[in-house]
Amino acid sequence: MVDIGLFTQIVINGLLLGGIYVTIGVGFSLAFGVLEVVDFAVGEYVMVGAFAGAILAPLFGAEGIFVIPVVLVGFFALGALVQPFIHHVTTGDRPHPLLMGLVFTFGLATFLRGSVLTIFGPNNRDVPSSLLTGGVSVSGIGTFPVVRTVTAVFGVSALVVFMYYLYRTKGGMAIRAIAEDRTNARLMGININRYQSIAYGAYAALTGSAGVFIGMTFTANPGMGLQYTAFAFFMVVLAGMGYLPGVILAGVVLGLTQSFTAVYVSGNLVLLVLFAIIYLVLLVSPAGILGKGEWAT
Amino acid sequence: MTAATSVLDRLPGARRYWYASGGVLLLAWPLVFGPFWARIGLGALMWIGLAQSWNMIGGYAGYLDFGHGAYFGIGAFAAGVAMAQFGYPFLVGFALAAVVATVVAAVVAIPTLRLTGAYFAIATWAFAEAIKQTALVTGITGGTFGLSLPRSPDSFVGIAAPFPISEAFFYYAMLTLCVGTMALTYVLFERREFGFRVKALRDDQDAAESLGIDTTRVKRQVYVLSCVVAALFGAVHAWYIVYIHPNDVLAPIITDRMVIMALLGGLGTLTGPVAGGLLVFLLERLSSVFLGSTTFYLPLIGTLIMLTVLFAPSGIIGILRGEVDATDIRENVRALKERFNLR
Amino acid sequence: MGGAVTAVGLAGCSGSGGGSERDYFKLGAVTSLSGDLRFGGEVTQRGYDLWADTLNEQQGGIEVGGETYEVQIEYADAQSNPSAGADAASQMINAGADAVLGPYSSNVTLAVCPIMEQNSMPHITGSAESPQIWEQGFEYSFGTIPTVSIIGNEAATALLNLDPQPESVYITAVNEPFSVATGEAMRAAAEAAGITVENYEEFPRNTDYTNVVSAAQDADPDLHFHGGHIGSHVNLVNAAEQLGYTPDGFLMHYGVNTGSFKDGAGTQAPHSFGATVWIPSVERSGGVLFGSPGAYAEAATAAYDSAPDYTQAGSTAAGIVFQEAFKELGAAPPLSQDDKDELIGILEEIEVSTFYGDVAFETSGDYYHNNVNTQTLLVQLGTDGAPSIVGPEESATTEATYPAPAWADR
Repeated sequence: MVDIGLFTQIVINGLLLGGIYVTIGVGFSLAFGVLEVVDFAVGEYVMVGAFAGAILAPLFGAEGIFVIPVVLVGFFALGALVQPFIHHVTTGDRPHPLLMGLVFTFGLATFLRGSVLTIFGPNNRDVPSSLLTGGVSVSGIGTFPVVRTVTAVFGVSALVVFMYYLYRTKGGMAIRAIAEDRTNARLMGININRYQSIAYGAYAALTGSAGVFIGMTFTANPGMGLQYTAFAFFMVVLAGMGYLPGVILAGVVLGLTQSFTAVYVSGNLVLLVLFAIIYLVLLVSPAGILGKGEWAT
Repeated sequence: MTAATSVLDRLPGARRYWYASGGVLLLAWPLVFGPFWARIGLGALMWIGLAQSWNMIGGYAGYLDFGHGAYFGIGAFAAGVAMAQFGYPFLVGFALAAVVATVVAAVVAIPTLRLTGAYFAIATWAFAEAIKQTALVTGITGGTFGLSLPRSPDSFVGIAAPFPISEAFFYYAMLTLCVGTMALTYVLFERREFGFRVKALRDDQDAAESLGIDTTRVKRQVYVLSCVVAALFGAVHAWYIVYIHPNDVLAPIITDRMVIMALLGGLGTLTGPVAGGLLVFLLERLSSVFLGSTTFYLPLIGTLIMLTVLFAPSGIIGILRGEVDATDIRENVRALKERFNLR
Repeated sequence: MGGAVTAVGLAGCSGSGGGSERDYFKLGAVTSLSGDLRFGGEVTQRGYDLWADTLNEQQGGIEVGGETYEVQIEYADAQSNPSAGADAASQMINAGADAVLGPYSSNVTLAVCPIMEQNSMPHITGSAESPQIWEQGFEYSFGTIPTVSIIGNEAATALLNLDPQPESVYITAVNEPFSVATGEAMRAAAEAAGITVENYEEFPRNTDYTNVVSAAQDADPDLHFHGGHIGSHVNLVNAAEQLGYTPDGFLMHYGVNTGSFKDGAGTQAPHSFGATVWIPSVERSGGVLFGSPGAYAEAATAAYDSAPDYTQAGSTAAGIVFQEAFKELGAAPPLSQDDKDELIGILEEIEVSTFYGDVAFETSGDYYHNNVNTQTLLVQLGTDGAPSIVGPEESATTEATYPAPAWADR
């Protein structure tokens, strides 16, 4: 006998959780599509974003939302600065470009996590928000926590904005060209460096902002990055690497699976189920659930 | 590029005297320096061995196995279950670790090695995490409480051993395993035709196939071999540390550390894991001595990794072999600066 | 900072054990000075240091056979993982310590105890709480903090005895040894009191708490019990606020009365219930070295600029126990192996009255060599986030705000 009230609430929880994952998956999918780098530092961008929220919010009257524009700009610059390094280690005459990219970003991730841990200590920090508190109860359906709903809306909006940029603007076309065939794009006169920096900068900006939202939803802690790196990887695997629209489906699948397993199967088995799904999807359909991802090597 | 002069050639005296004295030092280590340094020594030996095991599949074969640490944990738990749950002596646990790792690796290899690159990396990572979660929820591995192994004189072979099960004992155990791993790597990968086949499939899998190399079989052999090696180290480690828990022996940091060591040392080289293993292990273990009680070694390691990837991608061995010198670095920096050109 | 601390590395390993002349008591300390558990390790370090410093300053050291011997502590870093912890333990034995003060976390302790056992080295931990440790029956290891099975049980019982009496409870625990032990202890308390346990749920550390909360909300319990570490408590109350889940109270252990929880949970922290065995405002008849809990808190704040928690107090108490035991032993440093063996016998019988509470170790049963005498206190955070004692009845200094107000009303 399934309790309808609990059931719909679990669906809501799952969808909103998926919304959080979407905010991370969008930027990551873009970065992978354009730079072909699997970025180990993605979770740490989330973490640093959350800390930025915790540290800067008091300057804005203890309201985390107002930190977001600062993070967007600041992280864009950071990303634009980091991108040339990544580009450098994954191209040229180097052997093992993929491994070099992975390990470089792993080093970056360790550096970021270690720095925050050393400077700010290991404790949790609240990212306050007086505007995004509580939940909205819709009778007959369930309660929608405000901060999570806003996060999900943010993620989906970001996705829409990115899609618009990619498919309706010249800059976006350049980026798509680079993603498809870098050499030819260069031959066409596209400045690879500039557009890759834009792409990576946008990815860092979005992921950092996601971090602020995640900080408001949960808390900021130097060790929080690893789990989000894992979820980012999950997202692109399920979505199909480089296939943006798949990100929404991936988020929904991950969020709902987590919620339903937690409540109707057993809390302990949630992560096991998730990892098993990722592994199986990779074996059976590496180009994502919809099969639309790049079959890159 | 300038002619490469190996650091070893610049040492005074013939090489073989250096090797000989090094060997004597290794053998006499715990007896000369006592239990504390024996522990440091055996830790270093274990990580060198683990880095070498990853080097087999990651460096020589070019398959980025990001779940390799799971086999370390599988070996640890195999020994742990045999000893703690069934009361068998250590040698049985050790053998069991080899058997279980072989079976699991062989089964996993078949579907997983069809993937390449990033897909293979993520798939192996997901697999390893799934193993950890399984160990956390199943009763036989102690579930969330982990396992405590017995350590009595007769838990080695079932009858009282004539020597004490001390730090020195574990040092020699790890030394044997490590030297064995190095020898195995040397013979198989550097001396036998097998090594050429492996490197061929790393450099260009299609070309290798067209030459008649059964890449699928070679891949699987390397994978299973490398996993069994890791598992054996895990088994010894379990008995050494006596208390094992999935969050310790199946942690992702184990794989990450192996990869870093192999990379920093020099991928696909015999001595790379030695150099990388020593550097990273000593840096981590002795960091509190030099840096006090801070976590400063973390950003330090991160920076080191980034610098190595940027300027010395062939690792320490590459530097020692003279493959990276000042002109290379200058050229490197110039190329890097060009990437910043946004116009 | 006189007479106490040296961070040890290369220096410590050159010694070859007892036999050489020494005119001070050498205590080895194994704790996590780096890595994830650094914060906790620091707490134990402060506790141990404060003991040694105060002892040396006030009394000149320990008096044995007419002579006074100073106490010096040598530290070895467990680096927040059992392997390094075992190495550190071995280092201390090598350095010829007279006795060892133990680690912060239970899983490092579980790797350290066998080393102590193998080398017959007396060892007291001022922090680790997992029942697993005492179940192993280590002869040479002791602990001043009652195991969490007791703390969880007694705190839960105290809460269940508040007016109006609750009828149902929902229990959750993070799937880690310490937290599971806490959750099970709380469940045992509920069942013993005849309260309905709506559900008992375990889940991994990184779980999303909206699902936990939704399931709990659906069961509509009077109280919610949770076993975990600080991060999980923060996530739980945050999710509860977001979904409007308000049982009459949340009881969470470990760490409700720490600054980290207060900072992390922000506006959701007040009115949370927690468990502890000591806070500065508790009334305990002082005893050896520190006159009262208040005096200890003062000394700690003066030395470290922050108020002490019960782990720090327990660590200082561990030192005090050694101090009294050495006095009773009556042997001058360095201690021989026979001395150490005798010390074990003394520790088993000893009863010490400290600012932390009364300390005596069990000599049989599940809690072998654990101190179960220090009483558990149920605390609640006020609107300012500061904890006050609200149970059990005989120790309460304040009345509990119970039922706790709903999120919207705060």
